[in-house]
Amino acid sequence: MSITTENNEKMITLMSSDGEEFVVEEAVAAQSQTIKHLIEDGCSTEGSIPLPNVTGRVLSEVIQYCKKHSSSDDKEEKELEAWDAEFVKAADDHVALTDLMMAANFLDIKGLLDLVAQTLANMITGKSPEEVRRMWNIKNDFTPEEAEKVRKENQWAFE
Amino acid sequence: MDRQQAVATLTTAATLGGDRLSKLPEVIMFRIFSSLGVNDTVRLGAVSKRLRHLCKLSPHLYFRFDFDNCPPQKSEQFIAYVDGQLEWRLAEGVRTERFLIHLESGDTVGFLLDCNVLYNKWLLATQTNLRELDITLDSGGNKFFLPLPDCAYDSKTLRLMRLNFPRGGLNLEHKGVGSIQELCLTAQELQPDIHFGEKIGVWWTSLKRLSLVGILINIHLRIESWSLEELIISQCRVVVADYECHTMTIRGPSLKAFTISGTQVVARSKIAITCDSLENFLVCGTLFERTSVIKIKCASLESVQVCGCSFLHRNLEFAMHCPTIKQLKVSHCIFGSCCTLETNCLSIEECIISECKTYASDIYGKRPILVGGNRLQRLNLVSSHKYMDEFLLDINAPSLEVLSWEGNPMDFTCLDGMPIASLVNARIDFKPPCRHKNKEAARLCKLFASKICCVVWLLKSLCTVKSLTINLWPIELFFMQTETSLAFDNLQYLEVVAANHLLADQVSVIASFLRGMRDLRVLTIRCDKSSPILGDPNNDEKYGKAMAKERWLPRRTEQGTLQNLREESLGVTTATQNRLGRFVSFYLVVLTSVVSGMVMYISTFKHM
Repeated sequence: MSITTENNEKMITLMSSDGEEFVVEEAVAAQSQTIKHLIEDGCSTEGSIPLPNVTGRVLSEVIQYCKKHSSSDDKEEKELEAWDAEFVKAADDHVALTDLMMAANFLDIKGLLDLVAQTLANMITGKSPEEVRRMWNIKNDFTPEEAEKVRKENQWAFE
Repeated sequence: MDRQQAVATLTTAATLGGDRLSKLPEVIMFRIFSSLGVNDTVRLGAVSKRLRHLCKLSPHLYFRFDFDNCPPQKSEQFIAYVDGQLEWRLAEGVRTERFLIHLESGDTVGFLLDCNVLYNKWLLATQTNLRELDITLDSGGNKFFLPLPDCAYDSKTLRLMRLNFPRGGLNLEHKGVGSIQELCLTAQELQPDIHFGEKIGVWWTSLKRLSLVGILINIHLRIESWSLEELIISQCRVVVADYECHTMTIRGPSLKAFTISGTQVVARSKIAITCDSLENFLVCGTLFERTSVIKIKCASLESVQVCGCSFLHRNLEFAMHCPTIKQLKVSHCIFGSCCTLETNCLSIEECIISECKTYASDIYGKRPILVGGNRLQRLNLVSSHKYMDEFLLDINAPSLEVLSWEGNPMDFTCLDGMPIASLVNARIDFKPPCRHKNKEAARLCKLFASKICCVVWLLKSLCTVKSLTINLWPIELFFMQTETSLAFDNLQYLEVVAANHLLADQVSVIASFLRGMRDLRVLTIRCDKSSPILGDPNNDEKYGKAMAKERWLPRRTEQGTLQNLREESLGVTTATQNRLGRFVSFYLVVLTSVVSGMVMYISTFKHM
């Protein structure tokens, strides 16, 4: 379904996996290569574009990102960077970040993908295995023998 | 979060066991891995089976090891680990895209032996599909020179190579390097490979970008490359034997950008650039200590930027023979007393000179910077208080049309007071660097400034303009120096900018300034803040508050004051033989810009 607003902006409707609908300008949505291709292939002419892999909560965040990045010019780069930092800070817990990462990957939004990957990497970098396990709630599934082998192998990387 | 959503989140969390990281698909994990730091995948591999598997498969390998600060068994472990990883990869056909290895050691001899063996062995192992190679070898001891790893010559996939040898150098062979497109070299010096440049030009046939960082350039550099598109020389030091003159010759049909930054050119130097496709030439933060000659010859260069440079010696020749050059930007430079900035190009349209100073190093004293060009049309100048009496300028541009000059006032005597005949549009904005709260102090300061800054010279040279934007400060100074006004015969559009709010005595200054303008059609007075005299003099404070509330809607009361201003200027013009008759229409447009940046017309009226 494509409706046109007063500014002659073409609007499209995106539907999340939990049935929430979002009406956004085409230029905003087209930052996602996936959606762009869907539009080009004529999938948006009737009804809304279904996004089965993305929940409404995540989609609203993604749209927030796309809106900001489609309205800003290059000269506001610094401001945009600060905004990005705030944006990932707001999605503070890593559960939200991994969801965002999955959505960015599915929707193919390079900027968002890089931003979230960097944020997640920063959360991991320099941490000991125990810290990573605790932080992400990962179970240590090595058998004692395996653990010993791994420990020997990786010993050099620890202080 | 409503209840349904909460339940949904709970169930997903339960099915995933809360461990979101391990559940991410491989592609995404590798994307995250590419942003990790050194040795992170090694630590991450000890977390769980899944992560260990992923880390082994990661296309990004980043290792760093310091041989000095660890017991020998650790270094053996390290070598064994990397060996094991690479052998496994080779056997399984696992792709390595980026390989970063950073080794440090204080013991040069042993280290070199290790390195030579290691890196050839390792790099052969990673040869399959490797695209990026980043090697840092740092030994605390003697200098060492390493050959380029064999894989660089043989690989068909390698695109980017970063070599960092802070205490050594690179020895290139006469051997073809087919696939590398980008080389970033950090080394102590280029010697003894005296043919570095030639080898790059001849053998590196697909190199597009070459960066030389932090190197002592003690050999003549001659690069003639058919593929090179970008050349960067940064944080280097150019030195040759005392009696010699260092030459840097760059030739190439495809070079687009050439940057020299943060470099110290100690030797006498001669830089010659002949590249027909050059688009950008930038010199920044560079110190030329001795006689330097920079010659650029090219057919497509459009913009040249020189910023933050010091040309200390008295002979600098900077010659640009480029028929297409349009913009020259010189900023924050210090010039020795005999520098020629020769822009021998007819096409130059815009020249921006800001914050420069001339520096007297000998008995000849200061020389002005000569800005010239037969076709120069736009000139932007920015002067700073710091160099108030050191920024000497001589403008020689017969077709200059647009002049924009802002910053701190300077000694205008260098303008000879002759009108720049071709000038059409001028924009003047001088702000004195000092601020005075006290009215009397401000007046005294202006009086003092009026004695040094000969604003008359400045205004005289602007006499032919059609459109002028000027702030009040120079006008006030002008009337402190003289009573008579200047004739601006062609002026049609005048915009006067008052820094804060317009004061009553400033209105009369503006009125006096209008006297010499026979042809003025539009006058705009802009104030940055609401002006008490543009409001109603009889009104109370309520007026100001109401204005703020009602979004600056026009009010009847303002007419009164505007009338005053109009009458004053009318009075003046009548006195000067009723030149007002020439006014076809006289709009007095007063704009007030609100703090938020919104601009509104307060009042407009027409007089026939």
